[in-house]
Amino acid sequence: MNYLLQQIINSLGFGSIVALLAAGYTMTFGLIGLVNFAHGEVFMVGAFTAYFILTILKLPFWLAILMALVGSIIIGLLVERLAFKPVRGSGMITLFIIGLGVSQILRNSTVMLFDARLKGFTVSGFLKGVYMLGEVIIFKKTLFIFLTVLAICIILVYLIKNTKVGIAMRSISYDTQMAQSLGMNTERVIIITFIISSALAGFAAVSWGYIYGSVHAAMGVHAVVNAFVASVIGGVGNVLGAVVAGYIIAIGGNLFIAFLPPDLVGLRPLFVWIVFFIILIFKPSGLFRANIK
Amino acid sequence: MNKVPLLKLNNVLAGYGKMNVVNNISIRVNQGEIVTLLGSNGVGKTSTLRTIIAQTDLKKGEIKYKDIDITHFPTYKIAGLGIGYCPEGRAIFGNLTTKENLQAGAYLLKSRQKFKINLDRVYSLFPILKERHSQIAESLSGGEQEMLVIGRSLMNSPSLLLLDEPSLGLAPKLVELIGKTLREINKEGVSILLIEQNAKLALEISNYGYLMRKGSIVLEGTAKELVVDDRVKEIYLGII
Amino acid sequence: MEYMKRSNFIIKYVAGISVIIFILFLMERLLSGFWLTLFMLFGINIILAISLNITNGWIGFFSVGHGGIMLAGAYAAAFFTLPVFFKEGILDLKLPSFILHTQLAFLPALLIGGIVGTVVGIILVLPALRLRGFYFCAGTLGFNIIMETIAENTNGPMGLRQFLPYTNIWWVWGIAILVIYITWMVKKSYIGRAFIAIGKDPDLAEHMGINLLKYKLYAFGLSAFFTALGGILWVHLILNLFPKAFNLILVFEVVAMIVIGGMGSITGSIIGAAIITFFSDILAPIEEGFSLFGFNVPSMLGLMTVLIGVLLVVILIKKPDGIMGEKEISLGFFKKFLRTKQT
Repeated sequence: MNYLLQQIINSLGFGSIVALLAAGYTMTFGLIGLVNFAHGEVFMVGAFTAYFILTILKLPFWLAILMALVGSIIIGLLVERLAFKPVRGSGMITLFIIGLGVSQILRNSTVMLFDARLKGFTVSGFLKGVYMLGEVIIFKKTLFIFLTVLAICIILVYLIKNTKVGIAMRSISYDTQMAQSLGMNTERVIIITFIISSALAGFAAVSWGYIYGSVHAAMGVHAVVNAFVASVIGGVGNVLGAVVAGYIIAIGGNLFIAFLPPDLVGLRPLFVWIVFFIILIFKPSGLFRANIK
Repeated sequence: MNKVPLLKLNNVLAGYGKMNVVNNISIRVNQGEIVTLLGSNGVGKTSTLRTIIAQTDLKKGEIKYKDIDITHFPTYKIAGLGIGYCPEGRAIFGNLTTKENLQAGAYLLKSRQKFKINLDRVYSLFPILKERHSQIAESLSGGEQEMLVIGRSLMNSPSLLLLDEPSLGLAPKLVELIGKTLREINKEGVSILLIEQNAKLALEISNYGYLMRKGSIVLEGTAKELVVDDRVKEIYLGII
Repeated sequence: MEYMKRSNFIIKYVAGISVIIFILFLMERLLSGFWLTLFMLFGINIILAISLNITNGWIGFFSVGHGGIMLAGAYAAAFFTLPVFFKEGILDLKLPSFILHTQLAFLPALLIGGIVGTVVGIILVLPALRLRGFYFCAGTLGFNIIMETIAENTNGPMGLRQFLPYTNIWWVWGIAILVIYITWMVKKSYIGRAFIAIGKDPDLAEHMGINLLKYKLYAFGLSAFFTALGGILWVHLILNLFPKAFNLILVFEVVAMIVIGGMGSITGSIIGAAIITFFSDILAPIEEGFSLFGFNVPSMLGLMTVLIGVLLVVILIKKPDGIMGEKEISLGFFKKFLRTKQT
């Protein structure tokens, strides 16, 4: 029982990261049918911006967080305007290939500027140590991130449900032309959505660096796959669904290897693909309601 | 009835890509009127409406609304001028609740008070919507969805309403209700441009009408004139 | 008349093959190590691009799983070409003993590897076939990771070494020419037209009597076989094989080849392969850094992939059909070219 609980607690960090990435991913996926393969790199750029501010310029953590958000937002908007907007309305496969191209550009540019190695990400003296719940270990860092992300997600879901922008996002996802007929300026909403999505990725990036203590140029790929699968499971365009699915994938992944014989531990990356196939074959519309027709 | 033209289409040529579906159309909707577009399927009635709100490729001609040239305005801007649109096929936002659909209709409203007033007005026109306000729109019946579409378009206090086949597929009682509602909102000052398969209903409530064939207007006149015209009867065998 | 036509035909074939053999002979003599390797890489890229084109360009199923197929084929062939002492001594693979004690020549290993790659490819693609459009594509992305994970867990990240350098210009270009020839013939045949019909409008194709599943399997099988051959040639050229050998960058490069060249066009795949080989292999040394007029340009690893990425994005925005679109270069093109030169 304790073992089970420990595994679940251990997944909360990665789960929070995937939840934020999936939330941002599903927003643009639902809104304009965009499979944004470059989202993982927006995430990575945020991480490197924070790394640069924190480790190279040695400036305070809160500034690193802020600049990570700024960095991700700038890159996210640039990618949208330069690479995705010109092909708006093209099929998902074209958008995927462009996303693939952009992700290679961003990843290798980062390798060119820094290098491909792990980059240490040290936040001095902030919440070190653990809490003990009986025999279960809870890292203070992880708990902090988990609670913060939970708060962010609650606010986000509230905004989507109750504000004009949220209603506009969901309307445009379902029927863009009808939404325009009601006065909604779709271009403006798309830009706002990308800003929110990128900001979420930026915060996820800082969380990653903070929890794992390092960042690297290839951190985007694995993350974006998890985010994509979580979006599909959660129902396309459904932010709450994506968040819940993100935690499910993280916890499920940990439980998966926890109950495998020890020498099969390396099979962890397979978990998310197995889940992906199962969902697509049995319930392709996702476990929750999608926001598209 | 004042004959101040609210909407004017002058020699409009429009279509999709290389295909032209609206051939040299000139239409007028005067303030306070209900105008109807008649014609069998596929003659370009829907495309005419869509051209007004910039959802087709407009190649020639001009569209004026309250003397503003809206020929090249994007859809969202046209909506902002007070033109409401109810497309055919009940275009509700299936993923939102009834009330959220109405909130979407009120997107451009600035004042919370105005929203409340308009919401109450829609609920009084269609009480069933109030009953179902937290239900997901996809699960509403056909008639309820049509009421929702019309109600949603009224949330922004439009001065011109474009309606495409509101009675399509509805039971006679509902058709009657829709007709009654349109007359009521027209009395409150909303001008209407209507496409209706049900020519009887259309000519009963309209002041003026245009008969279309192959993308062009072949006949126009007051409702009284059209009702007795053979060409109109020809199109709607057995309905009139 | 028939007799003359047929002998005409045979003469053309013999002449063509002789020309090819002569050119390859010259290449082998004239080219130095770097350029020879480059020429071989170009040939391998042609094989990979044309095989990907069959599934992505013709039947319209956009697969990005070729990395996994190459891995499967390369490992299978390697198990047979690696010298016995290496397999017995250094590895602790759980291979059945008949493999551990056998060492085959290149041709049988190629065939075995090709077949294994094909089988693996088809097994992996079967569950994904019921997915439509982009979801299929996303599914195939998993192939690579699945195969890589399996390889890492059975072989370990270091991989295999001690390869015999079997790959030479004759193998590479012999197979490349064969692949070009076979796909060209297929394209003109009923099978090829069925493939393209499925790509353009699967429902219509089905109504015309084309058994969708059968032809999809043919296409994936053919594509996987050639892709596996490409992978086997590759590892016997660079002489090592490890789980991450056919990673996302390589997968991406082959995708870039067919998209830039023109999906659906064999000529396009060749042109695309040429362009990518140019950047990825010819210009690659620039990444190490160099000095120009006494000015030191630092090393910029990853620059070539960035450039390929930019090229891909630009093409998709400006000319989404690629350089050739779906068209092929034909004799008519050459005749026109010659005619305009004369006048």
